[in-house]
Amino acid sequence: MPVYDTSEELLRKAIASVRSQLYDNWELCIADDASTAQHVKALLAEARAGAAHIKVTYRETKGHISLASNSALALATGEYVVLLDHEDELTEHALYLVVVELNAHPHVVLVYSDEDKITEYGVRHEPYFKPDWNPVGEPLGSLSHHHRPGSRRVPSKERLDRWDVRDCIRTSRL
Amino acid sequence: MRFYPYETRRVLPERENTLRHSGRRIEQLKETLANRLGTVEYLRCIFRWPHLHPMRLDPIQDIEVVNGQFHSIGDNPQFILHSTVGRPPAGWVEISYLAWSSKRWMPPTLFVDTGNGFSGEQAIPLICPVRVEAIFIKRNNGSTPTDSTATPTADVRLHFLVCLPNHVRALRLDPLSSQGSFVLQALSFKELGAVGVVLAMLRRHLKSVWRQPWLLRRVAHDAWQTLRTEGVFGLRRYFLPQGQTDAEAYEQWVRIYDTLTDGDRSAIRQLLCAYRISHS
Repeated sequence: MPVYDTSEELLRKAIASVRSQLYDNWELCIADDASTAQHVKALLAEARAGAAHIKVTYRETKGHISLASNSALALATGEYVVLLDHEDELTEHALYLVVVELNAHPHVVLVYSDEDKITEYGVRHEPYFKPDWNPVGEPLGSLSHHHRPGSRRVPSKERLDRWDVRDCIRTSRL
Repeated sequence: MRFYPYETRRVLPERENTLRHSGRRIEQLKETLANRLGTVEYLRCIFRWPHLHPMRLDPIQDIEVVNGQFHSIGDNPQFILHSTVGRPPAGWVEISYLAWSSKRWMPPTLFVDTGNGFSGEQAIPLICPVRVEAIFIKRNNGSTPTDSTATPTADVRLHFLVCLPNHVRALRLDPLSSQGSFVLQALSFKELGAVGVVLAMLRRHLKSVWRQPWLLRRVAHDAWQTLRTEGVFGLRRYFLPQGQTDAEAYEQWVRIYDTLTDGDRSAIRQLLCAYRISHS
């Protein structure tokens, strides 16, 4: 999870949504992208305290979402990773549903899910119900199917730095 | 007066015709009067001077009040709303109330009785506020109201823009559809005239355009397309989204298919335990 000057409330909610997962075999890897807001470091330190499965790295220079995501990814030791933005929240059974799919289909390398938006008041709206796998009709690259909270297999450490800064810029403009 | 038989045969049909004609005329006059009164009432609602209706909440079902806090003790808690002005509000209104932002509860639904009782056809879910004001309340111990363990305290004021029918007999508010405590304070309905609606509309859209000027082009384009394809009513829906059919449908979908119960949670935990055993 890349973090940059996130509001305290949203960051707390994002971390709490991971902590409240029904599936508990996870690690939360956070990269602070040289935040200038003071509360961010304090909040991350608070989150890390006493929680071995929450890892935090602090970048010295701002690298934007791609490099920050790579920094977070470098902390990961699991077989699959889930991208989570610092203002996102997971439903409490999100990881469980991913685990169900991975157990049912052990050969898959990518799991993507539906998503929606949430107001500051906690009301969910604007759902994005994504279609089934259809690489011919709707290539995954043309739609934001698997950005988040998609899970993907991480084959080896050597391939961790695959996110390109150009991808980040393109994504941000969508 | 005395009629001879031959006169009776002549006069009676004439009188009958006269009476029938008068009856038709009376019906026409009543219809015209109703139309004119409807128009007057409609114009009155459009050009109404802003009028505030502070509302009194009268719990009628599944609600307990303990130390000033509301607790839903069932799946269908309901309040009847009484205006302290003495008559229910009508027409365009701005609804506002204090709530606790950290407490997640389903958006309240307003039911309107126009003479045929409360029904789902006259239900207005209050989902998308036009304005959210943060109010900063510090407790005695200095903690902020967002602490999940603390006593709930209102920390936001929500404003909704809603078009009520012109003739409202009664109003009912269903705050949520499950058990739990909630905060609902200082509920008021402010009747708005046309000017008030336009101002609220401008406030809602110009704020975002002011921050991101490039949005103006998109807003203008979308508004023009909506006007072309859906007419004036579509434009009204675009600027003042209160039909909320999609939002309402999604809220219902979330409630039915994506809200876990304690039973679901324990079942999931059992399944996860089974996974661990089979993998070990």
